[in-house]
Formats: sequence, C-alpha cells, structure tokens
Amino acid sequence: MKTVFRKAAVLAAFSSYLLPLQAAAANSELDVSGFATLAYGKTFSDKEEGTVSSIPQEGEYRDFNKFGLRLDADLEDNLTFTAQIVANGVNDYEPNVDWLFVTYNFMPTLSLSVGKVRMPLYMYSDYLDVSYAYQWISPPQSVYGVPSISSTEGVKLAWTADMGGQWTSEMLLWTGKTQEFEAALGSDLIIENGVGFAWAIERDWLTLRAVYFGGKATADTSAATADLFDGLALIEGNVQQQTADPSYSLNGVREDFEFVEDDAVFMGLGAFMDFEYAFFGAEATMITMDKNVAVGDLKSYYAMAGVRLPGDWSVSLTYSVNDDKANEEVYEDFQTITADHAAIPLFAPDADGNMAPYMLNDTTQATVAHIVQGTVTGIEAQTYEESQTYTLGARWDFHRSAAFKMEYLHQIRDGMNGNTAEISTTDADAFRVALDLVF
Amino acid sequence: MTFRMLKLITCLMVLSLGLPSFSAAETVVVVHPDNKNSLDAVIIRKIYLSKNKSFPNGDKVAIFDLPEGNKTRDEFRDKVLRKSASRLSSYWARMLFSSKGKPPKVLSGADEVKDMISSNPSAIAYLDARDVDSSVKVVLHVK
Repeated sequence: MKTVFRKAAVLAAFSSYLLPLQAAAANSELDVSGFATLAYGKTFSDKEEGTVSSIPQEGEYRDFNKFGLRLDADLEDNLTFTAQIVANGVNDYEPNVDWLFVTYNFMPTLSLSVGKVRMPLYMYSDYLDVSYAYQWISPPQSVYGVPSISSTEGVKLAWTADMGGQWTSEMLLWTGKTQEFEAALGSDLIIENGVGFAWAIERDWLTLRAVYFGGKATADTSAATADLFDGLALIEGNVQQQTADPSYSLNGVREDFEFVEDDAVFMGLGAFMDFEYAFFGAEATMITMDKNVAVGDLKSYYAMAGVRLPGDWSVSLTYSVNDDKANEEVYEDFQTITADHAAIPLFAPDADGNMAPYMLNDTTQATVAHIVQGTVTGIEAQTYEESQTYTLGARWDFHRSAAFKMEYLHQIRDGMNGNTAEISTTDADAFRVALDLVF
Repeated sequence: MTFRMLKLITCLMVLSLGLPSFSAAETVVVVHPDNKNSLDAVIIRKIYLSKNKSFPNGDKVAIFDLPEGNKTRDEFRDKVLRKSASRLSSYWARMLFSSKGKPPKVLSGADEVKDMISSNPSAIAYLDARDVDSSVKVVLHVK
C-alpha cells in the first residue's frame, strides 16, 4: 500500500546543491501511495435524456476512471507535509491538486493542518476518490452529489481522544475559503467565512458521526437570471410610472436571485455498523440557504446493508432518497409580486387630463405575466427533485490491493416540467463495473 | 455438589491450566523492557488500528508487523484486530488516505522485531512466544 524511500537516498540522486538539505533531512521519510479506479457504466432508460448517477445511456468508458498519487513527507519534529494529486477521466485526466497541506502535531492526539484540506462533509469525504476504501463504486449520488465541492483552503484542527473501553472520539474543526466547481449549479461555488465542525465517536463495530458547516455562498448565476432581471426592471418601470411612486422596487426579489454571500448551512448525520459477516450504514444530509432560488431546501439520505460471503465476496443493497424542494420564502415572494401587480390601481391621466383606468399594453402585460409565471414554475422545477435509487452491489477482494465491483442501479425519479409544472415519473436502470486499486 | 462434578471440574481446571503447553505456537505482544504501561487487548487493538496514537501514559507509539503470510501475523490479526485480511486492507486505505494513520511498518522477522523493540522505547510488536528473550517485555498473551 505504501512505498517508503529514505529521503536521503532520493536526494542523493539530485545534484550537489541539495547536499545541505540532505544533511538536514537525512532521517525524514517520504511515503508514496496511490489509487486508481477503472470503470465502465451504462444507463438503460425509456426516456432519451435519463441518466442514473450521471451514467450516460451510450455507455461510458472514460468518465469514471481516476488515478491519484499521494505524497506524505515526515519532516520530523512533529511536522508532516501531504500532497494528493488526482486525475479524473471526466476532466480529460487533467491532474488536480486535491490536497496540499502541512500538519503540525502538538501531541499525538492534537494536530493542526494548514493549506488545501478536505472538508469532512460526508462520512466518506476523506477518501472519496479512493473507491477501494468503501463498498460501492461511488457513494450514493443523492447524498454525495450536492454539494460536490470537497476541499477548502484554510486550517483544520483535529483532536482525537480515547474515551475509555472500546470508544474513541475524533473532533475536527475547520475554517477557510472554498472555490470549486459545483456540478449542481454548473458554475463555481465560493464559500467564504466557512466554519465547520465534525464529531465522530467509534468503537470496534460502530461509528457515529455528526457534521455542521456554514458559510457565505456566492455563485455566478447571471446567465440564468439575465432575462428575469430585464423583466423585473420592466415591471418596476411600469408600476413606478403608473403609480407615480418612484420608490416601488423589486429589489427584495432580485436578492433572492442574486447568489451573493447568501447564508448557507450544511448538516449531516451518519452511522456505520461493522460486524464480521454483515455491515450497515446510513447517512442523512440537509442543506438550507437564506432565500436563494438556485438552491432550495435539499434533503437526502441513504441506508445500506451488506453481507460478507466466503471467498472475500460481499454483497450490499443501498436505498437512497433525494428530496429537494423550492425554498418556501422565495416562492412566497413571487406570489407577492404577482399579487402586488394585480392589486396596484393602475390609473393614468387620459386625454382630458382626468385620471382613468390604465391598461398595460398587451405586449407588456403578456411579457410580465409570462416572466412572472415562468419564473415561479421555473424555480419550482429547477429545485424540485424527488428520486429513489436502489443499488445492488457486489465486491470481490480478489487481490491484497485490488477489488472488483459490480453494481446494478434502479432509479425512480419525479421531475417537474419548467413550463407546465407537471410532475412526471421516470424509471431508469444502470449497470456499472469497476476495478479499484491501492498501492 | 457431587463428587463426580468436583472431579469433572478438577479435570477441566487441569486441562485448562495445561493448555498453553499443548498449543504449538502462542502469540505474544511485546514492548521495550522499560515500558511501564499496562496494556490489555482492547488498548493494543486501538493502538494497532492507529485509533490511539500514544500509550496510556501519553508517550508516542510506533507499530510494527511481521511479513505478509507469517502465521503469527495472521493469528494476531484474527484474535486481536479481529478483521479479515481484506477488511484490514480496506481499513488501512481509509486511514492512510484520510491522514488518520499509517499501517504498521513491516519488519523482516523475529530478529528484526527484537532489535527494534529493544532499541526503540515507543515500539510495540508481536512475536511467537518461542522467539521471546530478555531484550523484550511481554505485555499480552494472545488468546
């Protein structure tokens, strides 16, 4: 699993200007370890666009392949350096620095890491890319899909404690700034002033975990909101003109759409039970945001049960649920504008100078109605998703550092049409196989 | 209590006392002779799974393994760590890639274990009881 080089030997291979360093680092060690996954997946669906866990219908040989290399340098005197570089098939194998940090161990049980560290949002966050380390080919997407951001540039404090008997405790406290591509938004998600806390207690057969993370979230959603903002300006202009009240403003609604420094909170609970012949796991997550259209109230969970069979085989069944709804407050804001617009007495001076009922011209009225109605259903449709996924998986540890996995996924998904607000149910199945390695 | 039952119990006691001498190989856990920590199977398991990174007195700990395929290693894994080889391998992948711990360093055999233990006060390892000598201190007989 890991290869140890005497650092002195490595350095000796370099030119002589490194000699002073060699003397200083003669006893430090460099561990190189790595992992790889080679996978194939294919979705079977009646609908043209249906996918399960991002597995395409035409079959995918490349996107799920990944390779990672990790360096751990023990610099002595309680200081270590870690870097992990991962190349994903989905990103054309372009290497990405996932981890880059220095850790200082105040004592064996207390350490502080500084740099680019993994945010432990999920139970499997720390080794999310190392598929060999868990039962599935990838963890349930309903839970692990949002947020897909995984690291933060900042500091992480780790404290482990022996709670007596079989029990141990691990607390993690981290803070920093994150900027990573968020798949669900299709753009970068920036989280500033992020503060997170995770606590796990475990004994030989049981792990229990809770996590909280909060911060100010910003994302560029201007392309999606451009038309709407034009529409809001049109409504404002009309109402201001007709009511002769220049203070009429829809800024409250605009703020709902502006994804700028919105308060975001992520909470999660997890449990894992590990027995000789059976294992059970469950995780639930919840995301709430302060009045934001792009992200509603997101809830998801999974429960998994597995058995270990002779010959290093194990079989598991996972049930996962995604239950995402539009943010209620945003929805209410929109109902308010529609009502406002209908209730405002639209009077204007007629040809004789008398106030008379005023009609928006048909085109403007149609545009406004269309935009408002379209936006309301659009919000619902965009954030609405209810899906249930069953995953039947098998893992075979055929080698000391390699595992072969097969999975069959069945997904039932309710989606909402953005134009008609109709809810339709889609069934889809997918199959995937993978070979996982660690070294 | 009947005489017959007493006789049976006596037989069982004699048998159980005699058992260690019948068993072909016994695995023992060893530390540096100056290590004064009291260690039981529960604490040793936590130390060997890198859940505890220090001895009960707070001193740093370094863990060592015998080579793969070694019978003493398998016995220690089965009885103290209580995990199959593949479960343990996944476990170390999780610990290593989450920076929580590294698997034990593998030593070549009993001689190297004894050299390491006698020269390194933080070291802990296991041996076949027949390989034990005065350079190491036995803290646990694996049952």
